[in-house]
Order: sequence, then structure tokens, then C-alpha cells
Amino acid sequence: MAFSTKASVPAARSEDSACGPNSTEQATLSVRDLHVHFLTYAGVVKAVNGVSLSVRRGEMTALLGESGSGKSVVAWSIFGLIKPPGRVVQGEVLWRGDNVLTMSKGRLRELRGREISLIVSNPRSHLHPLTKVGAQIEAVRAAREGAREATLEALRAVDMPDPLRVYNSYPHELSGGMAQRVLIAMALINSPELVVADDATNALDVTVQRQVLDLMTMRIRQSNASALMITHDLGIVAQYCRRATIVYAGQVYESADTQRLFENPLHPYTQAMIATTRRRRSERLPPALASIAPNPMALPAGCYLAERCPVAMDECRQRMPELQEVEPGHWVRCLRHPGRTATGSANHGGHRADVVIA
Amino acid sequence: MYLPEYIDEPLDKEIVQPALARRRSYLSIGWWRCGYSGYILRRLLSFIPLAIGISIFTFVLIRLLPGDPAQVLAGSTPYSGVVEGIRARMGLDKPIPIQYFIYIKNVIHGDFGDSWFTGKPVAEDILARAPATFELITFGITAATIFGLVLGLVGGLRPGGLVDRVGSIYGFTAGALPDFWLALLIIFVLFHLLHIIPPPMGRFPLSLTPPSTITGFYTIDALITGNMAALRGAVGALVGPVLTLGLLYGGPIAKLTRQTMLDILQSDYIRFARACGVSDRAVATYAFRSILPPVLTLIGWLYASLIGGAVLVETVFSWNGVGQYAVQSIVNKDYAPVQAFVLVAGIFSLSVYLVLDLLHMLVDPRVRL
Amino acid sequence: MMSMPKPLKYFVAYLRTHLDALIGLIVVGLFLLAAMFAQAIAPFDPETPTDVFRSAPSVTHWFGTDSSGLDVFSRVVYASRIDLFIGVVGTALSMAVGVPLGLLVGYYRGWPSELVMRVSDLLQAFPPFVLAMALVAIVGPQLQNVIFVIAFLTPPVFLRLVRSEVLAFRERTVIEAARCVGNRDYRLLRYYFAPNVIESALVQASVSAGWAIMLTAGLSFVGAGIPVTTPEWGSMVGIGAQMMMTGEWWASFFPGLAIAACVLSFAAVGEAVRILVNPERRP
Repeated sequence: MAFSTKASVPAARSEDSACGPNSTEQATLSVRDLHVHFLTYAGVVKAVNGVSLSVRRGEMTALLGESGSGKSVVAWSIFGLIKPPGRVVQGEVLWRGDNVLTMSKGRLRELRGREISLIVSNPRSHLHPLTKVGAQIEAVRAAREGAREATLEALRAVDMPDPLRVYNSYPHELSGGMAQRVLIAMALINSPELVVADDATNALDVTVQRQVLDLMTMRIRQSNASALMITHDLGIVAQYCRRATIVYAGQVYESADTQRLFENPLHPYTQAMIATTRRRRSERLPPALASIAPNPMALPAGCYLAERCPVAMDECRQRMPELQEVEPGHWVRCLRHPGRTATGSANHGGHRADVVIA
Repeated sequence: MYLPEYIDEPLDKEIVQPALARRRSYLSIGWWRCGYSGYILRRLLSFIPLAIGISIFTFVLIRLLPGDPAQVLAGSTPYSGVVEGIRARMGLDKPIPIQYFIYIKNVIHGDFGDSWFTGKPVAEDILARAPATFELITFGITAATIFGLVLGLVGGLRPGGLVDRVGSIYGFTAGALPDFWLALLIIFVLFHLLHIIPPPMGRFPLSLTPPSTITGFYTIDALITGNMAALRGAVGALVGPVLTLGLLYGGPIAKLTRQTMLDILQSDYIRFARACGVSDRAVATYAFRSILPPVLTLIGWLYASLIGGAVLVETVFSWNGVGQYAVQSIVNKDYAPVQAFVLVAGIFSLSVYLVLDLLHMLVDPRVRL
Repeated sequence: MMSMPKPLKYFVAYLRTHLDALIGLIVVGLFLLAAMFAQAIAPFDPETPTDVFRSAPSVTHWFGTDSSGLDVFSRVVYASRIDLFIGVVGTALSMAVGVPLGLLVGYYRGWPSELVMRVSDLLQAFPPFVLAMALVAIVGPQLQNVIFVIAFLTPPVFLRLVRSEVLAFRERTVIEAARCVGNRDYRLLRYYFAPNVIESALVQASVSAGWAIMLTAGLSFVGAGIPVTTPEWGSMVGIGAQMMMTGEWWASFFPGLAIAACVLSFAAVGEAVRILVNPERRP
């Protein structure tokens, strides 16, 4: 997938450098030390183990991770929709200062779909199969009057070729791209302040994906909303998001401004990820990381990536590193990047040292 | 900035346009050309071979009995000349395929043979007893639906709660109880111990006269003619068997409703609707609409199976319906009614399945294309 | 990626949390014991009347006696032989017919499969009980005929079940790969399809066995099944029916209870098997 890391990502502002995943300055959404477990007969599945991130006003932030890293669980937690057998065992999700996880039902009703909205992948399984699309969009709309007009307008705004036809269709009658646009229309109809896009373009083929993403990001920017893009696609991160947080086995491993992340990935895992995309035609694909993600029911004592890391040390298997701010705005969880607080010396800056992989 | 063009429109056209074009042409071209009716037509057409198959089967059934079919059907009738009469009527001296066509011809004209036990044409016997059975199974399935839906819906909405646990046990055990046994138990408790229902001697107390026949349903007829005493009599007699059937057939309904409800509540689209802030009432509408197809199908299927399933209940309560007629005939070795009953029940089930399929089309838009 | 605990350990844990499965297993065991050791367990001979007529349950006659003076408890115990035998053998026979046929019909397309399906549909269009009655009446009310009738009426259920599983399974890439490697049809059917199908067939078998017992009981109740002298739960209910109306409930109650308990426990065991063999359904 062709992309460029430079084109559309706005340069980081200087005052942002003091902010990291744990900062709440100017943040509308702030997830703090979230732990979510699923209690099953076979054992406890620890899906999220201490994720913190924040999304600032008007900004698009990426939550990047492979399948099984817990990204979707974070998304559903933001809406307070973790139901048994899942449980939020620790942490808070702060929206404008209030904790979503302890909100009253009334406040939640105001929040869902209105202040924060959700776009998911696989649209046809998330739309009700026996109801017409138009009616479903109207059901999401907060205001009661003018629903039909507003729905048609929303469909027009997502470039639907024949809004009236789509309005009267059932979900299974629409193509993937059209159904995804319906979801976007539903997400934007109440002009939310934050859009959570959970792998929003996963089910689409590449050309459609591009259109849909552009459309989505255009509309989001137009309404000056913020967005949390949950994805495993580096291209999307590079093209649309200002900040990126990388998550693995339910933990944050690196977090930085996108531009900085691509210029200077610090964590070996991040480097390996980026190395798979960034190469000239003549080069071969770098070797894949060994092994697979750890069993969330039996997480290792040390760093979760120790099994797969090409430059893992013995100490890595014994001790879980802390998340350190290695350079302004750039946080890493790795024993090879001890950061300012650990060593006390200015061991930060853009050095890659001995962790070149590609 | 990259402006999106309508690149995916041709793709959409291929998939969506033909179907929608078909629908628009509904009025202009004629219904027979359109998607819906193609399905209806196919479904109707498949009815015929099955009906023929059923008739062949019942035809063969009687011929399986040892001995001369005419003698078998004549049974222990005291009248002479009956055997010859039967042989002539059914063309038993002719080759078998011809016999089959004569059989079909007779059936279409309403001639199902005679019952040597009652001495009357089977068709007459069946028509006399049919209203009793229909009234019973209609009320029975209604009771079953009420029990099943209530327990299933409440159980599904509050899993783990008291209603859910009771409902689950009920759904599980209901299918294991023998119907004749349950009927006897109900008689024992409600009649003998509590004296709530009348003795199990038929559908109407002997001391009263039944209401004049309009629909054949004693309850409705009594209501229409304002005959309150008859209404009370009919309802009283109905309580026992309807309760039995309702308890037995409500089980599978409860089980399915509960399971479907749980599946729906866990489904992606309900979770997503909640995340979008859709009101509780709208979510409930979604859930209800999703429950309809499978539950309606089950209720219809159970209704079709009740015609044979109520047989023993009818016998225990001396209901004098078609089912009891069939059982009596078998015990008496009176085979013409048996053949007729199997044929009628088979065709009836088939028709109900057909109606069910068409209803399903109405309720689930995914089937239509 | 997640390693599941060993099946046996899981089974024990499951039994501990699911009382119904445990009770089901115990009850089935009890019935089997009763069937096998009837002579040792039953205090009285099931076909020789005692002097006591129509007596309520007591210390000597745990389930009382019926209108002919026969001890109900002994008869219930002896009847378990017949009913369990019919249930198990009848179901086994119908599986022997229905499962292979289902494999074939699901695997091969074409008019023979269609024909078999239509015939199976036909068979299922009739009310089963009346058809069973008619068939038994035709061939004669004897034990083996009842079994044959069950083995005749039940295969469509297995046929349908197995066929739908095969239809779903044959589209999987496993089968494509196996075929590419050069496996012939028979090998495919035997080593790939059959093991996957047998699990759900077994679960269905437990339900069908219960149904077979109910059918037998119903037939005998009206006198169209097992001859009355042989102890059988259904015919016992029939004998005691008149007594029930006058308040002597025990002659019909206990045999019917036995039927219900037997069918229930079979179903409970089947339910447990279903949840255990299908990893996705394990909670």
C-alpha cells in the first residue's frame, strides 16, 4: 500500500512535547491504567493490562497493535460496555473529567452516540439485519424532529450515490463500502466530539478503503472532532494520525508523535513493524518476529515481548520494564531504553544505538 | 486532499440494482416476473410432488396388511355384500396402478371408504370430529405460546434470575414428560383432588346442549349466540386438555425463546446499537424483531405436529376428536379410518409448512432475494 | 493458541458445577443397574399377582399394587429392561441407517441424494405417533416389531443432522487439501467427515433414545405396542388409568415417573456431551 510518512501529518507543536500517554493536558478523553479481565471457565483472560492514553481536542490519535493486543476491548471500555464475563478490574476512563466506568445511566445515554461515537469494522454484522438502514440511522439520531431529512443529509454527506435508495434498503442489500459509509453517517450524525474508529476499514478492499478513510477523516476534521483510530495498519497511522500508541498483549509499549515514531522508532518491536513496510523494491522482506503473542491467561513475569524480541536480554525475561519518557513526548517500555528517570543522565534524544534491525 | 470519486458505484450496481429493479417493476411488468413470486411459485410447486408422495405412501400402507384388502377393510362388519361392494368401489380386481388412480379419484370426491365400526363413511366421521380436535389444538398452542414466550422472554432478559431458572428447568423437563401421564396427573389433581375441572368425559358436559354450530368451536359459537351456560361448560371441559398440551408444548417454545433472546442480546448489532446510544425501546424493538422468525417457525411447526401429538390427550379426556378416532380404529382393526387419518394429517402438516415458509419470507427480508 | 485443560479434568470440573449433568449420569446408571439386576432388586415376581389388590404404597409394596394385585415396584424395575432395550437398540439401528446415509447424501450431489432427501421429508411429514401405531398394527404388536418401527421412523432425524454437517464441512479447505493430496472418496468420508459428524450424532442419539422410549410407552398405553402382560412402563400407566380417576394414583404415577426420569437423564447426559465435545460452547 503506497503511502508517505511526510505528506499529510501535521508537524508536532512544541508545546505538545511535554505531553505523553499519561498527561491529561488539553485531553478530552483520558484512559488511565486500564485493566480489563475476562473470567471464563478455563481461566482469567487478561485482555488489557494497564493501558493509558489520551486523545486531545481536534487531534487524531492512533492505537496500533496486532490482533489480540486488546485494542477493541479498550474501545468498548470507553463506552462503558464491558459486560460479564468481562470486568474492568482497575483504571478509569475520563471523559471531560468524569469517569465513564462509574457514570449514571442517564449520563451514559447522553455520551454514547452523541458525545462519543463508534465506527466498527465488518459493518453488516453490526447493523440489525431485519431493519431498514434509514430507520437504524434515525434511531441513533438524538433529536426527534426532522429525522428523515437529517438522515438523508447524513447519507449525502458520506457520498452515497442514491441516498433515498439506501435509506430504504436492508443492510444485506448494500455492498461493503456502502455499509461502512452508513456506519460513518451514523457516527457523525450527532456531531460528536470524539470518534472511536475500531479497525474501521478492515473489511474493505484497498481502493474503497482509501476513499472511505479520506471521507471519514475529512468529515471528522471538518467538525473539529477528535478521533481515536484503532488499527493494525501502519499506513493509516502514518497518513492520518498525529500521535500513535503501540499496544501489545494489553500493554502500551511505545507512544509518540507519528512523525517521530517513524523517524526514530525506539522499541525493537516498533522497529520490526516499521521495517516490514519501509523498504525499497530491491530489498527482501526482513525476517518475521519469532513465536506468537503470549497466552493472555498465563502472561509471563517479565516483558511480554521477551519471547519474540531479537535483542532481548536475560533481564528482560525477569523484569517488566516501566514506561519511560525517553525524549519529549516519546515514551517507551524497554530495558534498553532506560530513559531520564532511570539513569538520571541525558540518555535521550534520537539515537538508535545498537538496536538496528532492518 | 484526495477527493473521492464514485469508484465503487458500478460494483454496487451489479449487486443491488437488479434486485431493486425487480422490485420497482412489481407494478409495471407484473408480479409473476419478480423475485418474491419466483420463490412463492417454487415453493407451491414443490408441494405437489410431496402431496403425491404422501398419497402413494398411504395407499401402500393398507396394502401391507396380510390378506385380502377388501376383507381387511370390511373388518367385522355384520352386513353381507360389503366385501364385494368395497372391491367394486376401489377396483381391487384391477392392476395396482389403476387402483391407485381410483383411490386418488375417490379421495378427491371425498370418498375415504367406510368405517365398519361406526358404520358410516369415514369422511363423515372425520368431519364430525374435526372441530373438536381443531378447537383443542388451537387453544393448546395458544396456551403453549403464552407459557413459552413469557418464560423465555423474561428468562432471557434476566439470565440467572428466578424466572430464568424455573424456565430452564421447565423447558428441559417438559419434553420428557409422557403426554398421557401428564394428562392423567392433571385429571387426578384438578378433578379428583381439587374438583376444579369436570370429569374427563368429553368436550362438553352431558347435562347441557351444545350451542348451535356456526364455526364448530363450542367456545366461539357459545360466545356468538350469547349462550353463557354453554360457554362455561365448554371452557370447563377445555381446561384439562389445554393445560396438558400447553405445559407440554410450551417447553420447547420457552427453550428456543430464551436461547434466541440470549443470543440476540449478545449479538454484535445489539452491542453496537447500545454504543450508538440507541434508546432502550428501540433496542427492544430490534431484539423482538430478531426473535420473530425462529420462534414463529417453531410455533407453526408445533401446531402442525399437534394434530398427531394430541392423539393420546384426546384419548385420555375422551375428547372424541379425530385423534381418538384414529386410535380407536387401530385398536379395533378398522383400517379405512387409519388410512384416511394418516393421509389427512400428512396433507395438513405439509400445508402448514408451506404457510410457514411464506410467512417466514414476510418476516425475514434476507430470504426474499 | 490457548492451551485447553485436559478433557477429563474439564469433565470433572463441569460435573461439579453442573448438577443436572451429574444427576443425569447417576440416574442413567441406576436404570442400567435396575435393568441388569432386575431379578436381584425386585422383591416380587412381575407377572404373579399377590393377594393385595389396589393397595397404596407401603413398606412391603413400595409403589403399591395395581388392580390385578401385581407389585408396582417390581414391575417398574423389570420394565426398565424392555424400555431401555428398545430405546438403545432402536436408536442404534436408526443411527446405523441414518448416519452413513447422511454422509453419502451430504457428500454426493445429484438426483439420488435429492430422492433420498425427498423420501426422508415425506416420512417426517406424517405425525409420527399415528404412523408408528399404524405400522405396528400392520406388522403385529411384538417387541421386535416395535424396534423395527422405531428404526424405520427415526433415521430421517439423523440423516438431516449429518447431512447439514457434511454440507458445511465439505466447503472447508481441509477437504480441498485432502482431496488434492489424492484421497479417494471413501477415505475422505471415513477419516475426515465421519469423526466430525459422530459427535453431534451421539448427542442426538441420547435425545432419540428418550423419544424411542416415549413412543414405546405411548403405543403400549393404548394397547398397540407391547402386549400387556409383559411389564412395560407405558402399559402399566394404561392399566392404572382407571384407578387414577378414582384417586388411586400410584399404579400410573410411578411408571410414568420412571419414563420421565429416564428420558430426562438421557437428555441431560446428551446435553453434557454436547457441551463437552464442542470447545466453542464451553463457557
